[in-house]
Amino acid sequence: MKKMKILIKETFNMFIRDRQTTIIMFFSPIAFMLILGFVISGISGGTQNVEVKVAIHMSNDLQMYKKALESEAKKSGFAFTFVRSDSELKKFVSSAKTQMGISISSTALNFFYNQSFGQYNNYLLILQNFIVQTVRKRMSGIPTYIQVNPISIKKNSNLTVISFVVPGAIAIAILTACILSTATTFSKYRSNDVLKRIRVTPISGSVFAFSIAIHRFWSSLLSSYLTLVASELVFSTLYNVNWLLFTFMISSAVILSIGLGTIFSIVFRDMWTTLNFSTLLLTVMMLFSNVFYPFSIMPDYMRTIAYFMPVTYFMKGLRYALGISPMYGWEFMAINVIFVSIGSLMMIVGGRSMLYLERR
Amino acid sequence: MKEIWFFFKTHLLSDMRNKRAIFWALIFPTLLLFILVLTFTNMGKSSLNFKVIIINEASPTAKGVNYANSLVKAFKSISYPNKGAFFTLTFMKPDNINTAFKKVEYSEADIVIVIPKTFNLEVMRSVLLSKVGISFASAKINVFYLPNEASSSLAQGVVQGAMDEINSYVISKLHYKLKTFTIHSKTIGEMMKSPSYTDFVSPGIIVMGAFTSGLLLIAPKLASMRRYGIMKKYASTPAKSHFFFLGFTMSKIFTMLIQYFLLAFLAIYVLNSSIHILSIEAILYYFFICVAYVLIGFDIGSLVSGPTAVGALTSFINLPLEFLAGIYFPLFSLPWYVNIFVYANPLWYSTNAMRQLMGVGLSATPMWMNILVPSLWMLASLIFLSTRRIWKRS
Repeated sequence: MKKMKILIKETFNMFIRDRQTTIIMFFSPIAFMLILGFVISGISGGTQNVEVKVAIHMSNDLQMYKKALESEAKKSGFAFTFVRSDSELKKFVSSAKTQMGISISSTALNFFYNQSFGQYNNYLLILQNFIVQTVRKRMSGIPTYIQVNPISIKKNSNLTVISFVVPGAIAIAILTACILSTATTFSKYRSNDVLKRIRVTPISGSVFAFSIAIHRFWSSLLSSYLTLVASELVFSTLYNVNWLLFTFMISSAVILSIGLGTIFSIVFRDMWTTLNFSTLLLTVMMLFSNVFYPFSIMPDYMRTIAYFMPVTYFMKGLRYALGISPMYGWEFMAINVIFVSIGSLMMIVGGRSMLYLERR
Repeated sequence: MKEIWFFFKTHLLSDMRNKRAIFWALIFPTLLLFILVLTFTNMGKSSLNFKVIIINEASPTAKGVNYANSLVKAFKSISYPNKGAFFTLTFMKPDNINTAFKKVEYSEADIVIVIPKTFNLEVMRSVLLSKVGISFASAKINVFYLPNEASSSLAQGVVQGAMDEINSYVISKLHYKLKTFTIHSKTIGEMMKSPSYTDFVSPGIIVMGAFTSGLLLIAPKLASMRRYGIMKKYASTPAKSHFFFLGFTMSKIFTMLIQYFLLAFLAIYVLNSSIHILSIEAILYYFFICVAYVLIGFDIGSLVSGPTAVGALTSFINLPLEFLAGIYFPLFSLPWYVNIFVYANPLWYSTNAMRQLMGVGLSATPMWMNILVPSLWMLASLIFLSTRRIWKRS
């Protein structure tokens, strides 16, 4: 026990003195969440609601419809800016002040897009059909016989666009920081012959791995609290956080990530290969999971890959702990138990093998 | 000249033997391009599949009119296994409404559509009243959803959109005359007809590849050469410092050129992109940004203590710069304080310029700025480098 205490104290000093690791552990999750938050909310038109910004030019004979159009737009998730001419409209679109432009006269509808928005224009083209139908129906004075009455199953749902992004950003940032920092630290110790020296001491591999892991654990936990507070301050996310479940979920995911980092450092041996593989795996995890988009819009092959990614389950648990989406209690427990068991096993086996492989 | 050739050959061979260099210069950008195209090309396109539960409470009117059945048929026509479907339908009895809500709550279904008991009567009344010109309230179908669930919210929106189609169908059956409009759409800055996601992302990945190579081929190498005294050893030979820097830089730019053609050919021949890879302007501009990123790599290599630190620093600055360059997604509606970083980001200008020069679309920033800003970075890097003593004799 005494040995363990000394070891933890020493590894704490090493951890604090290592500026790169400290930056990765504490600041990168916050920076990642902020950048991703701003970029995604920019595409969505705002941090609160999805809002497509549209510049509108209406011919003089249609000016009387302006107010009706504006109120209809607000309900349908559009934000209209009325301009005086088509040339002004084109300027708005080309300078990306609005995502699209519409010029309306009594006989024609002209839509303007910006080529630099690339694939995003495909989504705007879907909206074009919706706008054409609505305008045509309104202008023809045709009644709507059947209407959809949307009813929320859960009351007091006040979640915003950004609230969907933040848990994903936290999950990816925590996984990245833990896997990369654990994997590179062990690889660095191997290349600097620190592991060889540890091997000739009475300290066991798993105890050494534990002493390194514990500082990644508390710093990740602290960092995730800070990221959550930062998201509340910057984006007013207003989660209904269950702090106990949040702590459980983050802790078990951190243990799994540290375990993965330990195993990667053993399998790939040198630091750069470990770093390369981890980066690639994290990129795949980020894109092929339901972190930023729901399962229902993914192609089948992506859905299948997503089910094999731990981040998918981490996200599910995190969203539950943040009060975003419900989940069966047994499911939450099962995810946590599996994460902790596999992570701990990888740490113990990894720690032992790490020193065993240094026997030559 | 001989010395330059010697340094060029030595460092090129050293990079080709180096797993890290091969990974960051050739493998990572290639895999990233593949993954991105695989992810975003099919996203939302012929892949929408919302799980919808329909509960039909409506009973036919006394005259046997059943609009609810027609509505259900309309939903069936846009559901699987039909082509271009959006929904997978499940029908449940009205008694099971709470079970249906539970399924939505626990993500086993996305929405519940309830056709109310009075639906048929309401539609019939609406049709009659509208025919005699009296205002009426529309018949409603209830869509129960979870606003906090992205899938559920999206499904609710898709049903709203589908209702417009269904209403238009009803309108056409009732012989209403719809006003005709001519519809035009124009894309500002269009250079290529309907560019695919591969067209959009490839120039950005090429720029990102050059930037990453600039950092990861140069900075760690320079840092380790300094750490292990190799620079001192070079300095004690008769070789001039500028011969070393020229040969070293050219070897990196050569690797970056290989990367350019590898990514461009992959985009065209494997991923069916239509970008202009052999455009002389694009190649010349690429060469220009390679020089800029090489200089930034030199700065970082001279700044940090060892190759490990370079790895940490690079991963820390790489991601923000890539996201704020519009490589993966277009950028708009950003707050002014984030825009400061975008406008100062050399990758943003390089990506815009490469998109225009490769024939994807007009650059979002003026071409003179696409040259000026990276040039300013080059100048700043050179000034900074001149203050560092990399080539030391003692």
